Amino acid sequence: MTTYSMGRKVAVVGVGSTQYARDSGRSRGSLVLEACRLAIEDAGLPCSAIDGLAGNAQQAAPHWVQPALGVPALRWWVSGQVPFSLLLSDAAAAVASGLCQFVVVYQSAYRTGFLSRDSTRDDPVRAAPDPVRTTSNPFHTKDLYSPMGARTAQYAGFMRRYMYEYSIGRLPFARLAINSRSNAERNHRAVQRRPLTTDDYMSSRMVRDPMCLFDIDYAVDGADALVLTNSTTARAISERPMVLLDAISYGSAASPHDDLYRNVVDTGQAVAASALWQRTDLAAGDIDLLYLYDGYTIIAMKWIESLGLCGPGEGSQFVEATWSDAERRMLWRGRPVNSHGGNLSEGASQGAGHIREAVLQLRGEAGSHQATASSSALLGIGGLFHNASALTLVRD
Amino acid sequence: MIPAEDLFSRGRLPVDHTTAYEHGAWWARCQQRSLEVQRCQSCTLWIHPPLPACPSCWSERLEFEVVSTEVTLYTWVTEEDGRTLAIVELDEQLGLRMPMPTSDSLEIESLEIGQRYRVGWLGDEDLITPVLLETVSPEATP
Repeated sequence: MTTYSMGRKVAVVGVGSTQYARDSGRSRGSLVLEACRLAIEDAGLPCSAIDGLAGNAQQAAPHWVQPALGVPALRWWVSGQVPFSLLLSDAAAAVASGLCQFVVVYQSAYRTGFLSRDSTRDDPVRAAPDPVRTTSNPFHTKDLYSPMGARTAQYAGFMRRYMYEYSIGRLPFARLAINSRSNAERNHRAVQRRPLTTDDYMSSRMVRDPMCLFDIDYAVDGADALVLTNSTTARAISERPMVLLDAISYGSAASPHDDLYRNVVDTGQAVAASALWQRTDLAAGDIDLLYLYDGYTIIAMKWIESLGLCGPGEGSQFVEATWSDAERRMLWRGRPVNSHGGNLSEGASQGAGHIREAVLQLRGEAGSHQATASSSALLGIGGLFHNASALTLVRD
Repeated sequence: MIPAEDLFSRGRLPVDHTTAYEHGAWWARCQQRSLEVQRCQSCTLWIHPPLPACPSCWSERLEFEVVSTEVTLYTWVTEEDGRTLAIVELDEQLGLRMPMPTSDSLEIESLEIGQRYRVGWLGDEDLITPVLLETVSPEATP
């Protein structure tokens, strides 16, 4: 039983992305505006048609973007939080309900000092506090951790516990990192394209033991934007292959704290996945393309399990079963998994890259790394605790 | 008992308005080197970090009670500089956990999930914090 009434009623009609770069030399707003302009142009719309904006006030606020783009009248807007799928859900609900007709949903990645210590050398702009990182997580509770000279164990603590409970070594995590890198090698937008070997992984430095350098996404500058409208309008304005939002969900676990979660199974991902499967007529076996958010390798590992592609603790077996030694990547129904290179190697975009890539693949517009023609994609986006979400996209 | 306000007054403890009084009260007990956890006086649920009301029965009758300093290691993370944060599970309730740093005297290489450890205290008159102090040898456990 589901009360979901948005199934296949919202279409992605525009896609825009900047190049991703380690250091763009640009302001965050410049990246956001470029992605928005490209998305609106891709949709074939005049800027005056846009009447909704969904963004993140800590990155570039909707009311800064509106006049900077020249949107004459805004009828709906929201400022949300990462990952990108949460904003996408808000924006989709706005067009499905008729609060606006054409919404631009955007997100930017910016390599601040919080994400990359190297970035702050000789650069006072990047050394400034990152407002996104100080406010988006309610459990960076400074009064419990900073007096102890500590920060939360978070995903690294979860990863150790996961490895302990299922007697999992490091190889499956190396595979996930190499999978993303092998796909990034084929994607011109990706920032990390140098081939990665198992030896590279095993000998890399521990950043937060048990998490090594290659378990952690790669901080970049870049922005992505989508234009959404209701499917009726979409059919009227374009004859291109249309990508529809089949279903989308959020999930936060009963105990969504980074360190004080109940166990390694009942995550926010499990909540989001359960809701998603109630809202879609698709089953895992129908899905052509898989996108597993890989802000850390443990998150991607758990998405495999949480989405029901295998049982709890069996993610490493799924990785092995889909692993191609010849291509040095996972293949699901003959198609790459995280075909763009994920957040680990394309660049850390809080899932925006996964969503943009899925849309391009379904349209057949992924260029150098276009996979076999595909009609559906399953995406697990976001973390383990308080900000998981899942969605399915289909080509109409 | 050191009032929580005193911990905030000289910047000894950062203020989070969501839970300043609840967390401050817990820190005040730490200053007495007493390991305590909030407990609901209506339904007996143990709660950490401290909350304004019980999430199970919504009672606001919550008191701090002393807990055992012998704990089980649930997981841990070691930063590049060697600082280690342990998440320990307390005996009082399944899934009742508390984060704390490890003592310098504890060998990180020897840490094991599921092993028993004793909680001690670290710090000076500015702020005393709990710390994972030492292993508890099996024969010492009653």
